[in-house]
Amino acid sequence: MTPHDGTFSGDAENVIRWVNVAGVILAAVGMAMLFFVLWQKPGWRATPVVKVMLFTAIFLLPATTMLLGSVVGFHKVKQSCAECHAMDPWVNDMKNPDSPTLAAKHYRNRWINEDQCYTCHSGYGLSGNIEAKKGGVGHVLHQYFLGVPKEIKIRKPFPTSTCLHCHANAESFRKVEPHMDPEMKPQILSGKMSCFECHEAPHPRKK
Amino acid sequence: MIQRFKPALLSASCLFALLGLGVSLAHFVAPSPLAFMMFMTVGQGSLVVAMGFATLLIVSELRRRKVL
Repeated sequence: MTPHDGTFSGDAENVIRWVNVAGVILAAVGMAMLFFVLWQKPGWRATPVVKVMLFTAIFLLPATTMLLGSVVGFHKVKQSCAECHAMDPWVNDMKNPDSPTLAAKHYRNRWINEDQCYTCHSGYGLSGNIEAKKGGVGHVLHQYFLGVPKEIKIRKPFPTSTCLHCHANAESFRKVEPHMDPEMKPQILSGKMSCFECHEAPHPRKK
Repeated sequence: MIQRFKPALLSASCLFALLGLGVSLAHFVAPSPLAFMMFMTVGQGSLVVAMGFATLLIVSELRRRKVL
């Protein structure tokens, strides 16, 4: 058992588990209250007890549930890429300890500690999150309603800015001569030159 | 006007809240991308409508009692 294990540890997964349990309880209590009120005769609904119950079940519990549901949902959805079988080839390669691809190297060295797919493919900042949400809705629609496309490919070229977000000012980046080359550097930093022109592909290339 | 529909509005508010909490419960019990999408749209939408109806009732009641 590590110091982070245990029922009341502050580990993110454990906190989310407790938030989930709290959400289940609050939603169930709210539903029970509403069933109880709906079951009553209309005249009885005007009593102070029922008014407090209604305020709790229509305002307090739903507001809390919405907050908890968003916390749980946004946490879980970041890990959901591997749940669809359509993504198996990419996920399997990433987890393959012998794979030379960039995604696999980042995964096995824990250069990105958690939510590896989401971290690289969502982009950084608020706009990255919004883009990821829009993309995620599209993926869900394809998975459940429209069908998974026969050929899965990235919608637009992978932005160099995502790599540079971590690497641009790192010593390991600066000590590579081509990165600091007066002609090459502006092209890399502006995104005109892709990292993958020189580096290993991020995922297995199609055969 | 609202007073005439008070019982119906209250029932509708309860039913929307029930629907919203039901969808939320499903999202908590079996979290999946689809359940999350339903929670963010149908669930939260229903809860907001329920709160809106209830707010309307509270405001109309306060106005009837000349508090507002």
